[in-house]
Amino acid sequence: MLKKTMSLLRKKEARIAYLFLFPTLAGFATFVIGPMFASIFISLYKWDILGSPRFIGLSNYLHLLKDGRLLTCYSNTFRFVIFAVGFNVVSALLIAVAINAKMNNVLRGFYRSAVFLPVMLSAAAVSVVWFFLLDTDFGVVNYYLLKLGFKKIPWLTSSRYSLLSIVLVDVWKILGFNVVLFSAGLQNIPRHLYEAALIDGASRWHSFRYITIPMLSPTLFFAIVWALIGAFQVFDYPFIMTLGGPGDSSRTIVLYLYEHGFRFFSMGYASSIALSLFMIILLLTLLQLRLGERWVFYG
Amino acid sequence: MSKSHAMTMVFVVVAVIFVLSSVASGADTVRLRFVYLGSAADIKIWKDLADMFHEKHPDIVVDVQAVPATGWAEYFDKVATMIAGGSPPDLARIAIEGVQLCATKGLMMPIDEYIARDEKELKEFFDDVHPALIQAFQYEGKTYMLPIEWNNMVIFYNTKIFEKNGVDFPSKDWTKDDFLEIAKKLTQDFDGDGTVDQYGFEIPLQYFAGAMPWIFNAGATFLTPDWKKPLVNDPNCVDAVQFMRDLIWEYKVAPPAPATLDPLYAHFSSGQIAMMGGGRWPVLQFVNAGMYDFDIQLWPKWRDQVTEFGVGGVAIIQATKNPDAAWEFVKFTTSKESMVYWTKLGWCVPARRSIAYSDAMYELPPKHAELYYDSLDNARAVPSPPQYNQVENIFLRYLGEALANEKSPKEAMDLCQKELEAIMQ
Repeated sequence: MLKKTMSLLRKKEARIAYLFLFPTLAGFATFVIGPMFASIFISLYKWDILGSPRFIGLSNYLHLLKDGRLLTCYSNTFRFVIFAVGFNVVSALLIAVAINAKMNNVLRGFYRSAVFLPVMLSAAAVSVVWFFLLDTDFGVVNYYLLKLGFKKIPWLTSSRYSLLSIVLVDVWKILGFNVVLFSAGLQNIPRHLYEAALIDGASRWHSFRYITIPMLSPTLFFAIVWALIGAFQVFDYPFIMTLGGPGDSSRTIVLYLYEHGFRFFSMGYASSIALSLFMIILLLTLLQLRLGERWVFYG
Repeated sequence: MSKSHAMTMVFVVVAVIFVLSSVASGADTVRLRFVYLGSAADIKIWKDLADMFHEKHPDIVVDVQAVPATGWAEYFDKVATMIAGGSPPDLARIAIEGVQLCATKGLMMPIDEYIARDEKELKEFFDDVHPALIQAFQYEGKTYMLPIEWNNMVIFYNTKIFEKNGVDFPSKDWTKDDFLEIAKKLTQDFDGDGTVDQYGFEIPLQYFAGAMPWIFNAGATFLTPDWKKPLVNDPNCVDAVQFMRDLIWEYKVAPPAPATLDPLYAHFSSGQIAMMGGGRWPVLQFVNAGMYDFDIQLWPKWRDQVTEFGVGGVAIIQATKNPDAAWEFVKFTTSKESMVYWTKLGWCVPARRSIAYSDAMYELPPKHAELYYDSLDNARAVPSPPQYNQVENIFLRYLGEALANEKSPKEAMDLCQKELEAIMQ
């Protein structure tokens, strides 16, 4: 008897839970799942939004294979991902460890907020500001480089630096998120591990290498997967600061996709690019999950 | 009656009242949706125009909606998406860059029948407007818009910098070499630290507002005059690109070319560059930034001295259900009253001659505002083929490499020509 009332109650609760979930699920289905499936279909058509779509089978995908610029954009994107994620995770880790060192709480709070501040800004606003800061002749960055005895760097107007500039701005903006993530992870590491290591005569480097890194590995793993997915979709910075140029030097794959879909009215081709990117991100994420088993320590 | 039934009844009654009231007001009021490519900066202009129009036509309400976009191609795409999504706007501001693109996509309604119907009423307007502006909106025997506002590329110069350095203001017949001399003189390093603090000129990586005036004056046309085939590796066109590249790398009178126009306005209004190119739209930018010490001169003569212009109007969207009401609004935007209003704000050059030479143009700098309309006799429209969206993208990609000194102008334009030929078959 008791059991039956419980299950009735649970049923009722479940119904209410679904009711509460409904708006989110409906939104997710309409704006995420729906378009995802739609883009699979669209990628089989030639469609300029206004006219009626024409079925062309796998032509868009065949075109992908022949598109030399696609390769350039993918190569830019891969370089961006490697540098952005690398810089981001390494420097966030160093900063998190530094902030986590013995320090008064007010100061620690200040550093944490300071480094987190850019995370809350919109990428577009950040790009506009950095666009002016990185101005070759009148920008603040080069002004100080000159003061320090360096040469002016054509950050956004040369193929050599345009992608690097975007990496720097991205790292500056995202860094704080990982710092906060790592700080939380660091605080969960039991103090006695360090104390034991100290008694055994371990150096600071050894404590870091053999205690901090393994204990932090689940957090690190999450941060890398997350940063990688985000980095593959980079769009705002090149869109606002360089428009992909000079030439194609800072054109990322999402910017290229966007241009085909929303500038040249080739929705089909844009969808096929999107799906190629989806496959790449999916494969890399699966690969990471697999590799992660080897180095992530779930104590 | 239970409580929930009572609530249902209330809802039904409210719904019925709502529907009835909207039917009642819908019977004599037409609502039109107008979209334009723009930002918060000019929404006031369009809202005010809509209000002025509503006063004259109490039965028509125009809802103004800004469509933020980085360029014409993206804007047309958004308008196309609205149409495909089943909520087409009735009216859209469109510039010459989009006329052939939108016409071939069937976005705009030809207005020849309306023009014929209201011939008498419009005669005074056509008499008041330069034919070059009217022709710009005709494509394959049809007229798609009436010109309202336009811009042509002239050189803006900072009068204070010129005076301080004892440089005479340029005259109409100045040449490319005079321009270069002045630019050299005005490129200065104030503190002697080996880096330039004030440049003579700046070239943005832009199609209409960057490269085209140099290309035209170098004696090239960029595309064939009918805009059907590319001519970008024509020796004169390569010459123009070479000259722009040299301004930055050889003579060092201009900073590296930025990808957008914003740095130009910032640098010019803070005195970091002495000259720049623009139409009349920068006036609004400068006045907002508190910059009044400037004047304009025609683009310097090279092999040719033509002015490049672009023109805008309000198009009736093919999918509208209220073309007659939309046409009334189009006609209103061609009225003297509406043009005087925004001319005083320093927005664009009015299509009407009578207003372009009136006091409304002189409430703000430049002092020589008559140069705008004067130059129309020797003017050429910005090349705007139906593939404009791709042509601009391709050209800027190669121009960017040439201006960054990463490809020779000849090599860049040869490659550009090849790519343009492929899409303009």
